Amino acid sequence: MDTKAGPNDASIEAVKDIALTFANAIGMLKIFPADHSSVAALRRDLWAKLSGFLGARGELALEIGETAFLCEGQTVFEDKNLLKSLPYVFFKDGMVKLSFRGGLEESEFLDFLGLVKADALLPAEDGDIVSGLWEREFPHIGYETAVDYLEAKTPAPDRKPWDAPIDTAAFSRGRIDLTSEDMAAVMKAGLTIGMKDGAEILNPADLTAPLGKKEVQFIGSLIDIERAIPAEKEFLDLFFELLTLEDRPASIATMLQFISCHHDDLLKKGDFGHAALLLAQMDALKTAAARSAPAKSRDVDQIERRIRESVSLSALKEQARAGRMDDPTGFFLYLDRIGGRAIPLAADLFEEMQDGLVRSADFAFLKEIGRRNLDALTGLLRDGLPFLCKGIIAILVQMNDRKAIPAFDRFKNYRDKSIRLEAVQALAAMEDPLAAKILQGFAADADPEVRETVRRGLERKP
Amino acid sequence: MTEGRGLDGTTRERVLDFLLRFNIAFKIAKVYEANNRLFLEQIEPLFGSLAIIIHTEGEASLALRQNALFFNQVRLDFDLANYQNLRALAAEFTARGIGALTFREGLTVEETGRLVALLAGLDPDEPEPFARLQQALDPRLFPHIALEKEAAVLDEIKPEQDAAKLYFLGILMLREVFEKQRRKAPLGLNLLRRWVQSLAPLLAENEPFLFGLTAIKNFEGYVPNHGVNTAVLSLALGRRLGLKRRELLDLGVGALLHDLGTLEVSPGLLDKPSALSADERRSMERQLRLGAQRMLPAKSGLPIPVKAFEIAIEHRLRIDLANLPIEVHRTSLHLFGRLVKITDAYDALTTRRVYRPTAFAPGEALALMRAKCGEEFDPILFKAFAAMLGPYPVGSLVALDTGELAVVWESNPQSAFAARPRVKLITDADGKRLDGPETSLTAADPKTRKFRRSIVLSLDPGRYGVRTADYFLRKAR
Repeated sequence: MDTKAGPNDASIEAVKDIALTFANAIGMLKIFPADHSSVAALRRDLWAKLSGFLGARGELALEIGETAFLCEGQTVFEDKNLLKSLPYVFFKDGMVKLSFRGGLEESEFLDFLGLVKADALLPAEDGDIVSGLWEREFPHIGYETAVDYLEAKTPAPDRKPWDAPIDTAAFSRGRIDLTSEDMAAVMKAGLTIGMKDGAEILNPADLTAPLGKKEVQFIGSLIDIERAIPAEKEFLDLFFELLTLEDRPASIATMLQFISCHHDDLLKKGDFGHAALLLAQMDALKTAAARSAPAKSRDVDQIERRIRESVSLSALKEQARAGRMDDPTGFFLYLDRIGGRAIPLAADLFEEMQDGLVRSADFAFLKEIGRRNLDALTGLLRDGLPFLCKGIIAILVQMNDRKAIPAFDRFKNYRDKSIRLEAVQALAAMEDPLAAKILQGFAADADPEVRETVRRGLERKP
Repeated sequence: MTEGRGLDGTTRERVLDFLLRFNIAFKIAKVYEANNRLFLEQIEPLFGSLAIIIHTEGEASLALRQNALFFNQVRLDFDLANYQNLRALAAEFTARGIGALTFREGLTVEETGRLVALLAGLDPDEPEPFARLQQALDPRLFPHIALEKEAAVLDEIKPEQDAAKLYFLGILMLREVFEKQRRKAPLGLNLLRRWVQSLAPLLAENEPFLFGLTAIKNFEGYVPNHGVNTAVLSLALGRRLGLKRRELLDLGVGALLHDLGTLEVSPGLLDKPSALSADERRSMERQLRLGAQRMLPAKSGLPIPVKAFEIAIEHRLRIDLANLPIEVHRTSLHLFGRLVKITDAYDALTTRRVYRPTAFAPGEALALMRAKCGEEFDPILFKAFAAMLGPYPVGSLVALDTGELAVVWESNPQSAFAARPRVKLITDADGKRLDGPETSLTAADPKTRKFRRSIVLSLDPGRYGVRTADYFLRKAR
C-alpha cells in the first residue's frame, strides 16, 4: 500500500468514477428511501469501488471546490447546479478537503452517507456538514476546513480585536502598590484566601478539594439520567412550563401557533407518543388555567380542539399501514387523545394489521374503550371481521363483567362460523347463569361443530 | 492516530489502571529512593498491569499529541474519574519533552522500576530534559522500552492565535445574534454550533490560555462577552464530566445563548445601578425565563435546540427550587441547567457591573458561591467546577509571600498542589512592575526544602489597573 504515490491516469479515472457514483448515490438517497432497490444497488457499487480503491492505495483525498471535487489538483467531478451539487454541500460549510482512509468499514461509510444525505436535504443555511462530521467522530473519514470560515461569516468588525496591539512596554513600566486594605489582608491571610467584608477565611485546599468516589458516581448518574430523557419529552415539559408562566396574549397566541405546527411535525415523523403527550399537556394546562386565567384556558382549548378535529383519520391509517409510527403504544395513546372518532380506526386496524405489537397495543386500547364505555366497544362489532370480533370477545371475557354478557347474543346471527364458535367457547367458559342462557340460543346453529360445542358447554353448566 | 471511537471497555479499563499505577509509582519515586520498600511495592502491580496489556495488545505505547494522550494510537477519552490522572501524566510528559513511551514484549519488573525512577529523578526545570533522558536510557538497561521526543511545534503555527481569534469572533457573533433577535430574525444556530465545534479542540489543546482570556470582561458590552466566557467555562467543565461531542455542542450553544432572555427585560431593570428589590428580581427572572421563547424555530420542521432552551429557562433557578414560580410543578433541574448556573454566576461575579463597580477576585467568587451550595448551586457540580479552576483560577492576580505580584498562568493538575499553580511574575518584591518569568509555585529551595513562593491573597486586578488577559493575548501575537 502506497499512500504517498502521486496520481496516475488510472487512479484519476478511478477517483472520477467514485466521485460520480458518490454524487449519484446521494442524489438517489435524496429521492428514495434507503432500502429502495436502486439506492441499495448504487450504494453497494459505491462501496465496492471505494473499498477497492482504499485497499489498493490506502487513502482517497478529495479537494473541495465550490462546485467540483478535485484530486491532486485535477477536477474529478463537477456539478454547477448549486441546488443539487454534491461538492457544494461540503463547500458551503467551509470544507476544503475530504478524505477516506484505509480501515474504513462499510457501516462507518453508510453512517457517513446518511449524514451527507440529511445535510443535502436541508436548505443551505440550515445545515452544517462540518459540525455533523465532528460530532460523529468517524475514525477513517477526515476533513479539513478553511481557517477563515467563521471570520468570513461574521459581520466584519470595524477593527479586528484579535490583532489589536498590546502595550507590552506597560508590563514593565511603573509600579503597583497594594492598597492598605489589601496590604492588611496580605499580612493577615498567610496561606488563606482573603474575603471581603469580614466574610469567612477559607483554606484554598478546602475550596477545591477533589471529588470523592461517590460524588463522581453521582455526577455519572446525573449524566445517565439526562441521557435517558427523550429530547422531545424534555422540550414539551419546558415548553408547557413557559406557556404556564406566559401571560401576554400575543405571546400566548404565538406559542399556541408554534405548538400546533410542532404537533403536525411530530405526526409527520410518526412520533405519536409525543404528539399524545403534547395533547395531554394542553389538556392539563387548559384545566389548570381555567380559574386563574380563563381567557388563556379558552385559547388553549380552542387550539387543542382544532388540532384534534383537523387530524385526518385516513392519513393516520395510511401511516399505520406503512409502519410509519415510533411505537404502536404511542400511536394508540394518540388515538385515545383524538377522542371517539378515532375508535373505528382502531377497529379497522385490528382487523387489518398482522403485526403482533400493533395488535397487542390495539387490544389494550380497545379494552380501555370497553372499560370506559361498553356500548362504544360492542358497537364496533361487525360480521365478517373475524379478528376484530374475536379480539372484542377476548376483551369481554377479560372484563369479567356481567353487563358484558348480553353482547354475546348478537353473534348468534353472524355468518362467520369462526366468530360464532369463539363466542360459544367464551360463553361455555363463563360461570354466570346468564351466559348459559345466551349459550342456549346458539343450540340451533346451522353448523354441527358449533352445535356440538354448545352441547358440551351446556353439559358443564350446573 | 485515531481520533477515536476509542478502546473497547476491557482494554480501556486495563489501560486506565496501568496509568493510575504509573502515576502513583511516579509520585512515590519522586520522594523515595529506588530501593525503598514503598517504591518497590508500587512497581510490582504496575508491572503486572503492564504485562497483561503487552500480552493482549502486543505492546503498550503511550503517546502525547496536542495535550491528548493516545494509547496504541487510539486517543484516551477521559471523564471525571480519570481526568486528573491523565492530565497529570500529560503534564509530566510535556515537562520532560516526551512524545511517546513504548513498552515491548520481554519487559521485566526491574526494567520497569528503573524507568520510573529515571523519569522521576529527572529535573524537568534543567535544560534539555529529553536529551538527558535519552542519554540515560541505556539500551542495555532498557532493552524493551523506547522513547520518542515530543513533536516539535512549527514556529508558524500558534494555536493561541486561533484561540484568541475564535474567542473574539464568538463575542462578535453573539453580539450579532442578539442584534438580529431584537428584530426577531432567526438565531443562526448553525454558526454558533460551528463556533463551539471549533472551540472544543482548542480547549483540549490549550485550556489555560482560553481560561486566561475569560479575564476579558465587558468587551462589546456585557452580554456577548459574558456569553462567550460562560461557554468556555461550561465546555471545559463538560469535557471533564465526560460529555460526548453532541452534548458538548448543545452545552456550548446553550451557554452562549443563556442570556437571550435579557432582550425581554426592560433596560431600566437590567442596568439599574443599585441592587434589585425582591419584586424586581422576581420580575426580571420571570422575563429572563420567558425570553427562552426566542429560541423556538420560526420555520416548522427545523430542529429545536432543546438543551439551549433548557439552559435559558433553568439557569436562574436555584437548585433548591425556592424561586420556582408557584404555577410551575417540577422537582429538579436538568444537568445543563445546573452546570450553566454555576459557570454563569462565576463569570458574572468576576465581572464589574453597573450595580457593582468592583468585581470579585476569582477566588473570592468561588468562596461566595461555595457558601451558597445546596441552595443556589448543585454542591457536587460546583465542587467539580472549583476543582477545575483551582483555588486561584488562571488569570487571577495574586500576591505572593515574597511581596511579588503574579498572574496565575496554569493550574496545577495535581490536586494536592492545587494552591500551587504556575504563575507569571508581574512585579518584584518592591512593587516595581516587570515582565517576569513564568514559574511553578511547587519549586522548592533545595537548602531549606521550603517552597520558594506561595500565594497569600487573590486580588481584584481592576483595582490595580492590571489587564491580566493581555499577558495571555501577547502569546497570540
